[in-house]
Amino acid sequence: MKCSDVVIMLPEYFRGKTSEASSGNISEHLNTCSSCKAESIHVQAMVDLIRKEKAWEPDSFYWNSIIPKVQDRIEQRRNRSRFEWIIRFIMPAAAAASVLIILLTSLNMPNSDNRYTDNLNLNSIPVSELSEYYTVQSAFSEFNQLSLDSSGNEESADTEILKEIVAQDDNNIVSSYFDDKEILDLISQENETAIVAALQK
Amino acid sequence: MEQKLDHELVDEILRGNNQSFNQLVKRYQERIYWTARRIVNSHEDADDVVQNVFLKMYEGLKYFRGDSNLFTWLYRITVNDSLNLLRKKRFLQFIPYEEYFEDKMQTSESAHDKVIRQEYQTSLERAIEKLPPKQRAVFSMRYFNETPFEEMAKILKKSVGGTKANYFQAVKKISGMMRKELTG
Repeated sequence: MKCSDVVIMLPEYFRGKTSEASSGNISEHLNTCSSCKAESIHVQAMVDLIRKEKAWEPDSFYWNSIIPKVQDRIEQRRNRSRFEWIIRFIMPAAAAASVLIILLTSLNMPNSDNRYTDNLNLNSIPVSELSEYYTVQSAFSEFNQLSLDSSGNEESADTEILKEIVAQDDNNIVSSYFDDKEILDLISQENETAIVAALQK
Repeated sequence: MEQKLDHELVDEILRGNNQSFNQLVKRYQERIYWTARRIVNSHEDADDVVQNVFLKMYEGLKYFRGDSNLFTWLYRITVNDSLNLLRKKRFLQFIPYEEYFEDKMQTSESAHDKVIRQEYQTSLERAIEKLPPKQRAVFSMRYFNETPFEEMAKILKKSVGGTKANYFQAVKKISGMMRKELTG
């Protein structure tokens, strides 16, 4: 028997767990090998100590607590996997759907540049659409342009709307036309004080 | 009352019977606890391993092949989980001691528990604590569970010779350390 084979069998040998044949071989080896004999003294001491020493043992309270703890963790894992499923699949799908809706909506929207500035004819645009697309800022510049092209018949003006434009009230949208030539001229000059004075007449 | 066989309980769990799962936990909890405890060398860590093992059992039962032994499967998970925990702890040793200690105190162990644990800590536990993780695992598997070297080699993905060498080293170190403690 090799020394290494003997040493690894020593703990079992001293605990009486080796077969009769193995036990015979080991004792024979220990009688003839001084280094294994020396080693065997330590191993025997170790086996005796382990036998005597009693590690702290948990009580029945601990053993009864295992099932509830495991069940809790299973439940937590289940909840987490549900949440992960939402994060992984539902939220990206919702985001993709939102992007798609925005894209489709923007494709169907008329381009305000082409429609309202290239061939500007305010009389042909329904009031409801004007109110949908015009902000005060863009309306101001278009009214300037209008007055430059004006022949005196095409434009109409609404003083209420003009008031909003002068006040730069971004919350209001142009919803009507102007028909006061004097005010249109004042708009083209960007003379706000004069416009207000004219409106107050 | 006649005890149901493991595979019968597994079938019942897969059909949604929670009581059968509890029965399996009760059947193996002590063996798993002691296997883990002898490797990780602390009650708190062994408790962590026990919970992980049963959680893995619950999740893995549908893949469990009825022809193999359930405990062998659980035993492998236990040893590997215990070794992983030891590796993680080794990694934590690179964190400044105070930080690690504070964290431990806050999360898992009160000062009172720590004193009690230290009182119970035996010289064998202290000796085992000084071994490298694989030697620890091999020693406790062989010494306390009498696991055959071939089985240990499979669990640890090592050669049989390498496993024997680990055990050889572990026995020599532990007996040496215990002797030192005893005499010194």
